[in-house]
Amino acid sequence: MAKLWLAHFNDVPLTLAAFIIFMSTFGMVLLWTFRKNSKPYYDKISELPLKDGDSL
Amino acid sequence: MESLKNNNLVKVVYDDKIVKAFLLATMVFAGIAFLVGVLVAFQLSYWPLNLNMEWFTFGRMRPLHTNAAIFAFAGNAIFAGIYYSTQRLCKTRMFNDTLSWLHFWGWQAIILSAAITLPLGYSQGKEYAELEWPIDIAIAVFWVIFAVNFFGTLLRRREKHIYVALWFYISTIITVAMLHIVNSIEYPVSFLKSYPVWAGVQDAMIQWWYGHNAVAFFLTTPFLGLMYYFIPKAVNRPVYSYRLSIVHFWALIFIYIWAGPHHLLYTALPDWAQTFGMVFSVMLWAPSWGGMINGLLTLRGVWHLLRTDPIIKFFVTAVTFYGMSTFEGPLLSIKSVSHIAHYTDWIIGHVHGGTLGWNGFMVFGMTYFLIPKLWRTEMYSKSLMVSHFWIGFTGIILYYVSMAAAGITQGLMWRAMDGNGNLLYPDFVETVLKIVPLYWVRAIGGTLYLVGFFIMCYNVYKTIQMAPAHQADTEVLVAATEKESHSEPETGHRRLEGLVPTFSVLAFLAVFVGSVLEIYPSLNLKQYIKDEAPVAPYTPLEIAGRDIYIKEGCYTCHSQMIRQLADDVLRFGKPSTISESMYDRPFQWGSKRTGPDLARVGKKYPNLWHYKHMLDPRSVTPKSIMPNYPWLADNTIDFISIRKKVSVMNAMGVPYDEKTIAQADVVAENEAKVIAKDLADQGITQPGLERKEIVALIAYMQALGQKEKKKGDDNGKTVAGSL
Repeated sequence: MAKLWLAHFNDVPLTLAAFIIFMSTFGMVLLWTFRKNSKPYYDKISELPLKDGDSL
Repeated sequence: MESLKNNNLVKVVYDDKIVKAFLLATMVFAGIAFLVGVLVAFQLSYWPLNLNMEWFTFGRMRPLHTNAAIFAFAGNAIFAGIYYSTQRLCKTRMFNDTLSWLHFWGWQAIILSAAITLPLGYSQGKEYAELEWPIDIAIAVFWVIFAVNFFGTLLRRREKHIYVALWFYISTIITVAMLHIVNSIEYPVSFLKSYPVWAGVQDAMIQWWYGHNAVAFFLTTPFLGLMYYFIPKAVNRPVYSYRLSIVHFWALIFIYIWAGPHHLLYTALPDWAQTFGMVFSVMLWAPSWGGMINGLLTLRGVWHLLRTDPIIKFFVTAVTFYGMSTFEGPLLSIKSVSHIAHYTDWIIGHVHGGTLGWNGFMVFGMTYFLIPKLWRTEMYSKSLMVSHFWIGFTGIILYYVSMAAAGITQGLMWRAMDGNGNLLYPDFVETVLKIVPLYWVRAIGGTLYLVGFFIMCYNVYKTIQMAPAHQADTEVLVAATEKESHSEPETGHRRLEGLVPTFSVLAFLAVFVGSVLEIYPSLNLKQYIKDEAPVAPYTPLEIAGRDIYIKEGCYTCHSQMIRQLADDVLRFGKPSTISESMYDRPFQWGSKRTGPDLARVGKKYPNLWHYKHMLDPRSVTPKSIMPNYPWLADNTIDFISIRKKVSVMNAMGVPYDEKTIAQADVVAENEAKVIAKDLADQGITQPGLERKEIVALIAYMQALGQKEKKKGDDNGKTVAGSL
């Protein structure tokens, strides 16, 4: 059944839905990542490679 | 390991010895990989350098070069960088020292096995996956050991947040495991011989899903992790945009996994899969360039370092090459561009722009950064570092420009037609001879790159020589727990970044979903092959000949895939079909045409032509640059093993009747006698010729393109009965 479905896959609404889901997920990740007020936190995290620990 | 605890601070002793070991192994294998690369470059320029030696010939050296470059040089470099940066980003020592050393020695043993077996001809005939099944198992085992050690370190880290470099390492470890296991599912015939369970178009699809993503997840994502760690370290300032790195990561790993089919444009692969590969490849432009820009702009405000610091020269040039390669890759994936570039040296130039420029220079920059830190001294000579940079850079430019020019020239010559629709250059060797001068330029470029590397070796040697005699691991004080260092609540992606298992599962899903959706439909061959048995299987002697074809690495220069393009059809015959390679284990569609396509070479020439051609190609094709294969007339066919091979093929669904399976060796001997008699009738009087490998290879060559059944044929299941 699954093979038959794949062999004759021609479901435009489903393809469109998948595309919309993919694009909207991507858009949401983008918006979340670049949302307001998050810069200070990310700036702090981006300094991690510069802090190996205090040398003895 | 962490003994001192004082006011919420603990002492951490980073394991520097393992980093040093991987770094030195990187340098040793870089030398071997580059040296063999230069050797094969000269062999292509001047065929007598193949020396008529079985184990020294291009077809066996080329897999050694690619495996050494990818798994030995780049592999050891990745491990060195990961072991160094992971400990420092997690503020803890590696999870287990024994696992670290098991990983190190296991990986070197794998490389040694490859260095022995590949020149001896033990090969699966799949690019970058040539190693035979026992070595494949060893790779899986030691990769798992590495993974346990890495994830163990993450789980006991003292830093809540997992820095973006570690995300790239996570995706590398997960995806490489998936790629290697799926592509290496094979059926052993003997200790060093196996056949893949995948056949024909399935094997092609899975191999290039693997091959492309080996580039993505072995030569790109770990190096991006290194970039996100070492460039900020080298310039002593944070990455340009951490938020951009988040988008870069998720977009890259999700899109990359789909792009494999761009290696198979215009082939017999179903159109939908080709389109998938092309579209996703073009989409890769965005995340790739986002990452490149992020890396380069990390130097904002300190661009003067580019003039004064050789390490920055290496890093900036590496990232620039990353940008160029990731612009060129999607460009080459566009069908109309692929028409010119595919099977030509342009692809070789593209690949080397990435490996020599991006991977090589990243490793050199990282090595120059790490050596003084690990050995607690200064680099012996800054001017030698600068010399290395300029000589190596000149080498890459010569290499890339010559190969791009050679590829475009040959690609245009292949498709050139006159007003009547006839090929302007019908003789394939004519298009090869035109670009041989550029092969010399490439060899000179490679030699310069090697010279630069030797300068680095001398510089590193002198640096280590003047290092203090006592070398202890790095000791630092770090906060005891993350709670003291982070007080704000964590939600959303921030929280996710702290959850190693959840993060890893999501990263796995990002690559797994694409893989399944892309590969699964092609596993259902019946939707593309309507007849029950449209082609006859290879006869026992043809199977033996095919194995010799694979052993000699013929696929490194010859394709077996006539594309659906007018010039391909005019030159080689009607386009290849899916059904024609349905029993091919492994598929041999190839990726490069230094010689002509062989998909329909069967019955094109008499047996005598093939005999002469294999012993001395110039006796039938003057000016050919193909090596001689004199040992094929001396080596004896292992007839007994043929029975097992046919039996294994039958177990995987190739339709042989019981008589053929039971008497495969006898059937093969009878086939060989027919060919030997034909050669004898034409004046070849070699005693015992019917037992020589060359006869089996001729049988295979004569079968290419001749297996499609015509109306009225029997069911094709009885091979023995026809002899």
